[in-house]
Amino acid sequence: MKKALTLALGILTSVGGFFDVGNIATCTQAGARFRFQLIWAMLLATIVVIFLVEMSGRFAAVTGKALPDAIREHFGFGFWLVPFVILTLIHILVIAAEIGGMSFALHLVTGLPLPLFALPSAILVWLFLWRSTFSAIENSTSFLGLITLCFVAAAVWLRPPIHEVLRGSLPSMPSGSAANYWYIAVSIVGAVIAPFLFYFFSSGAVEVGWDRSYIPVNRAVAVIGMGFGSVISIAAIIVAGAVLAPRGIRVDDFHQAALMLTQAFPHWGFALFAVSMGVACFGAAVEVALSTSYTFAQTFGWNWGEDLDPAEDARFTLVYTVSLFVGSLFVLVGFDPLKLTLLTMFISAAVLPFVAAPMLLLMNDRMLLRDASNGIISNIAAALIVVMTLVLAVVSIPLAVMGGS
Amino acid sequence: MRRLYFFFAIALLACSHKTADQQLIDAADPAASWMATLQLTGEKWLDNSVPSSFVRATIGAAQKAFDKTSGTIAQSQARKELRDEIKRELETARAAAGDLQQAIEKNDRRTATGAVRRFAEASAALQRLQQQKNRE
Repeated sequence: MKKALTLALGILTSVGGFFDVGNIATCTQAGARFRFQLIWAMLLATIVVIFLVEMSGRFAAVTGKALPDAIREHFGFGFWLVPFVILTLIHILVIAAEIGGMSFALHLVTGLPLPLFALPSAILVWLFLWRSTFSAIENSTSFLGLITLCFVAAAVWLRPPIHEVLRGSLPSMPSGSAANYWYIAVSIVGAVIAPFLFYFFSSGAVEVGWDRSYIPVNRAVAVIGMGFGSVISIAAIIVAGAVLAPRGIRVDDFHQAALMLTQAFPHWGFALFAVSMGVACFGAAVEVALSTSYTFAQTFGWNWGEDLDPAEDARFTLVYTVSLFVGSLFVLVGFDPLKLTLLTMFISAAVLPFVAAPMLLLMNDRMLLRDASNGIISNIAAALIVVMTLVLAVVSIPLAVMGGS
Repeated sequence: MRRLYFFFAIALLACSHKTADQQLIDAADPAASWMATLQLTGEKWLDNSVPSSFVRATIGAAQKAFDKTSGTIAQSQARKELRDEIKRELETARAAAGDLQQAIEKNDRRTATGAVRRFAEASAALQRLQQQKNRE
């Protein structure tokens, strides 16, 4: 019974947690610019993230250790230092992007200038982290995140041409600028395979006390949860492709994306977009801030745990406090939230080899994982993931120059 | 790795070789997108689907894009007729944006409807230029 509940909650968490500012930005850009042609990028990224999340959960369930902790212990502090620094920078940028998304949602609702909401958004996230337990965070943000299912409802209501949607599930030559097409494809991959996701997932599994008996639950959560989450993102591509693309509206600013639900829901669409964005970004900001603290605490061997009283893990608490404050500064000084998000997603894709490779190496350690180490299928997938992330890292800079405008 | 980036730099230069006319039409693309955005925003305001504050903010964001395109036109080496045509559509959109702004302050639905129609015409004119360029 407990495991069934864990499974249900895990799936809900994944559905609610999958969709964040990165997905909103990249999916709406993809749909508005190339209609349904980039659905394949989302499908590819989903398959990769399912493998990575499954591995990180399995690792935590078998060893009782979270990934940063294990990588540092296994390969040494010197080896972990580079991924740790990169991961920390990405964490801060993602927090800034999520706070930007929350602030934009509040700007939509109130009409007040966006930077005004930077600090209040950060304080809201901080208060939630300060007062809540891990389970409360996991459950409440995931239930609230279900509002993003409105994108699926809109996609169904709009009745897109099925043959075009299916054709978009396979890679094809772009109908417009090739550089922009590949730039958005790489950004989609960066938005879905967020490095914080698997580090957070493994730390969360340790926090709630998963053991070997949770391996099947972990697998189901990874496949079903991420699969459903991906459906919401694909729905966002479809809605943007059906509403914005035919009118020649590109998404150069979140104001343009805010109109996408008004065709399916004339009186609620605008509010639904604002609430979806606010809730999705709030949930993601909470997860990323926690992930930053987990990574720091496990790297330096501090006390850690969201269920502990802040006085018991003061340094853990200090890390998310500082991260949220620094993240909010980006929005406060006037960084455009969409540009900040796209840049962050792009950098996320470029640094994937540094954060994914140590984990994939560890998953093959038979001394540590015994019969739960990677099998042939997982290793083939891991090899393909490493190759894909290396290609992304190499092509990212020229693509950013050519297609980022 | 250096060779690889050198290769990409060469490819970048090769790809970026466009005529001044093509460069100007590309630079006007965001402006066309903003005109279409203002058209949809105006339509949704007339349907009571979006609040006035959102229309105001969207007009502000569009004006920045129009300013940027104006700057590009001023520096462009493209044919004069092309520059004049884009400038004309841009001025139409600017004037319509001003009218829409006033219309929402006064809740004047007739003026707003007129502004929406002018956004549609200006956006269609720029999109036609883009299509012509793609055919050439």
